Formats: sequence, structure tokens, C-alpha cells
Amino acid sequence: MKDESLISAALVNDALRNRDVTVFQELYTTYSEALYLLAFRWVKDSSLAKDMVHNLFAHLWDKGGQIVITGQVRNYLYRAVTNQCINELKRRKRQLGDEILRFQADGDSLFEVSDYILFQQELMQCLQTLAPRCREIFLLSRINGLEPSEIAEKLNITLNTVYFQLSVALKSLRSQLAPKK
Amino acid sequence: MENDLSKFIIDYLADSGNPDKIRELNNWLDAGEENRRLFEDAKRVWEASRQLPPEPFDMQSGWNRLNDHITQPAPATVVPMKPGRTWWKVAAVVLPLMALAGYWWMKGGDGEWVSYTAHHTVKDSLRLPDGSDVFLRPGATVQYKINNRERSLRLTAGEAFFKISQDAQRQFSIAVPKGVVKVLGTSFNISTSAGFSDVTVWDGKVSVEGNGKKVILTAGNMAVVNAATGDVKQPEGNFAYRCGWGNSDLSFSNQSLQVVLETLASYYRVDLETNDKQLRESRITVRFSHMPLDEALTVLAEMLDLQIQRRSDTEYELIRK
Repeated sequence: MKDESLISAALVNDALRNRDVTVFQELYTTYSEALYLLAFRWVKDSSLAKDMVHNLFAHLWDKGGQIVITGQVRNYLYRAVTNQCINELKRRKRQLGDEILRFQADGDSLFEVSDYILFQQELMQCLQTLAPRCREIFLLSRINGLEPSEIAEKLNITLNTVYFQLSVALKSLRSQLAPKK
Repeated sequence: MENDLSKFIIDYLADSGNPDKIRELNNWLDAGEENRRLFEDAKRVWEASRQLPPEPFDMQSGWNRLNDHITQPAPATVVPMKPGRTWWKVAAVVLPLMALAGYWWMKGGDGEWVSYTAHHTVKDSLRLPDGSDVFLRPGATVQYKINNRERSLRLTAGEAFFKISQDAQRQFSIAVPKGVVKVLGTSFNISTSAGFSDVTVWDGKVSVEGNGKKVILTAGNMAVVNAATGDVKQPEGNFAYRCGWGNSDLSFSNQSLQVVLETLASYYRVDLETNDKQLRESRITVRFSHMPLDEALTVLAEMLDLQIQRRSDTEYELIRK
């Protein structure tokens, strides 16, 4: 992840007004993944989440100088993408979850959301360190929601192997992700 | 301690409702702050991982898309999205496919379709990235996309023989006009013409789908897909010989000599003729595996008690003794 502190609100405001592609790309590189993870949390649809991130940045660019960001850039973007998700969910007449409404209403929840995104990003990196078979089994279980018995059948391995690999994955991820003391 | 953790994780996964196990777990948790912390950390990972998107964020393609947008001369404000009304229908289809989507994480990255047309005058062979071999008759054209998630190929023209390498994780699918052929690992022949595509299996199992119908073929079976309607027909008989040109193994099972001669003639690129109608209709079972023409003709002559007269380098006539 990029160093967020280098991108101040003033810098972004100037860049949008002056159509500075270099700074705009820097902004995208720094925040797009985090915004994708946040949007996915709200809409539970990876391709829609991608669209949300795209639309947000396209909107920023198109509005150019009319947008003035105050406060932290990160907070602004998290709020903006969340509002977009809410609008899109409403447009599709889908139920808004408690979490998203709480985030919209409560200023403090920003910390929780930042933690969440950071944790997900670290989790994604740690997944890459698992042995391929172990990672495959873990992902089938967690992302695709398969039961251990279904995984055993799909991969033609024993149920015990599935449990064992899941516990190996979990232990490895836990030790990597545990708060540093 | 770590070993305890892994035992409890397994117990929890295997049977979280078992009261004995729960008591045991609680005892362990109460035994020390460290235990509780370990378990909470693991649980957090377990819960958080369920919220991961099925595919990681592809920043490069995201930026490319955005860059297309911002370099447009007159920027449009809104990016069109899928119409709201059909969203749930799409979701209903996408959900069962999620099992496949997980593989994104393993590698990710989309391949492009690669196109290949056979130019060689006899037989072209093509080794695909997954280790499968495709043998193409002159003029045959294939497009393929092989990556870590899928093995897809389109046969757009001509005839090809496939030896698909085994991979239980990635089905190999071949699209022909109005039909699709799916295999895990096997060898078979597909011939595509304007009106029909036919699929003949050398070994293994192959599924052929078209117009909502699906047939399973095993060795020697053939299916014909109508290129206009997608209808699939499965004629009776053993058609293994249709694979012969591809794998140099011509195998005939209770086949008329007429067909045998046509197939041999096409394979050896000679003319094989006989004026004897009764002879043409006689049925034989024979196999020519990697055999030179002379030898093949000798075998035929022995079997049917024939005399083979050589008219020129490429013309032979068969006469009953």
C-alpha cells in the first residue's frame, strides 16, 4: 500500500482543478483497492464493487474543480464510495444492511471501517504465503462457502485432510495477522 | 498450545454443536488468557476471510478503464451499468459459478484468445500451454484461451484431433457452431463443416451439448451437431477410425471396406479402388497402427484374399483372387 500521508486534500483539489493526471493516478493507486474492498463489503458483488470504484473516480475527474475535499482524503473517499453504494442499492431496491446505515450515520465507525479494510488487505497478502493446496481449500471454504464435506468430494480427498488443511491455514494466518506486541 | 489450538479448530469445524466438545473448549479457554487470545485471533481470521471478494482487485485494468474515461474528449458523467431489473437473475446464475471464481485468487489474470490456422500440407500439430495436443488438417482454424482457470477452445473451421491432458480441476471445452464439447482428459476428433460438426471419441469420455440436449460419448461413439439448429444426433456404430488420421492409429470395427478404403486413401494420400461391389460392402474389423502403406495393403490382402495391383505411385486397385 502507498503512503497516504503524501496525498493531502489540497493536493487533490489542485490536481482535480488542473486536470493533473499524474496526481490523479497516484490517488487511484493509493486508494482504489481499499475502496474496492469497502464497496464489496456493502454490495457483496465484486463486479458491482469495481463499477462503484470506477464511477467514484470518474465522477471526481469529471466534476474537476467543483469538488472541494476538506479534511482527510481517505475519509472523504470512504464516505463517497459508501454513498454511491447506498444509492445503487436503493436503485436496485435492495435491502440496506445495518452495517452500512451505521457507517453512514456514525462518525466513529470510520475507525472500524479503516481497521476492517487494513485487515482484509493484510489477509489477502498472507493468503499468498499459504501452500497452494492449503490456500485452495481455505478459499473454497471461506469465499465459496463450501462445507468441508463438499470440499472433500470436489477435490477427492478425505474429510480429515480438509479439516487439517483448514486448521493449518487458520493457524498460519492467525500467527501472521495477530497484533504485534 | 499451538497444537491445542489446531485440535479445537478442527473440533469446532467438524461439530460445533457437540456439548462435550464445547465444554472441553470452554475449559481450555478458561485455562489461560493466552488461550483465549489465540482462539479469538483465529476466529477473527475465520470470520474476516468470509468477507473477502471472490476476486482480488485488478488495479491495472481498473486504471486502464479509468484512463479511457478521462482521456475522452467529451467526458460522460455516468458509466452505464447493468439494468436493475435483471440484477437478481444475473445473481442467481452467478452464485453457482462462485465455486469457480475462487480460483481467481490462486493466480488471477485473464488470457487472451490465441488464433491458429493449419498451413502444413498434411497435418499440423499444436501443443497447447496445458500440455494438450491438437492435430489439424490443412485449413483447420482454432482459437484457444488456456490459463490457470479455464481451458477453452473454438474450432471455427475444418477438422482437428485432440489429445487433451488430464486436469480434473479445469474442464476442457471446445465450442463448435451451436454446440459445445466438454472433456476432462481424453482424445477425440472433431470435424466442422458448414452444416454439421461431428465429434468422435478415441478414448475416455466426452460430453457434447447443443440445443439443450447433452449426450455422453465413449470410445468409438460419434455425435453430430447441426450447425443451424444445434440438434445433436448420435448414430449407431463404432467410428473410431475417424480419429485415425490424427493419431496415426486407424482402427475399424465391423466397418464396410468402402469406408476403410476411403479412410486409408485419405490418410496415405493415395487412390484405392475396386470395381467389386460385393467386396466394397463386405465388413471387416482391423487396425493399422503406425503402419506404412505397403504393410497396410498387405494386411488387407491377407484378410480378404485380395490381389493388389499398383497402377502408379499413388493408385492401387483391389481385386479378389
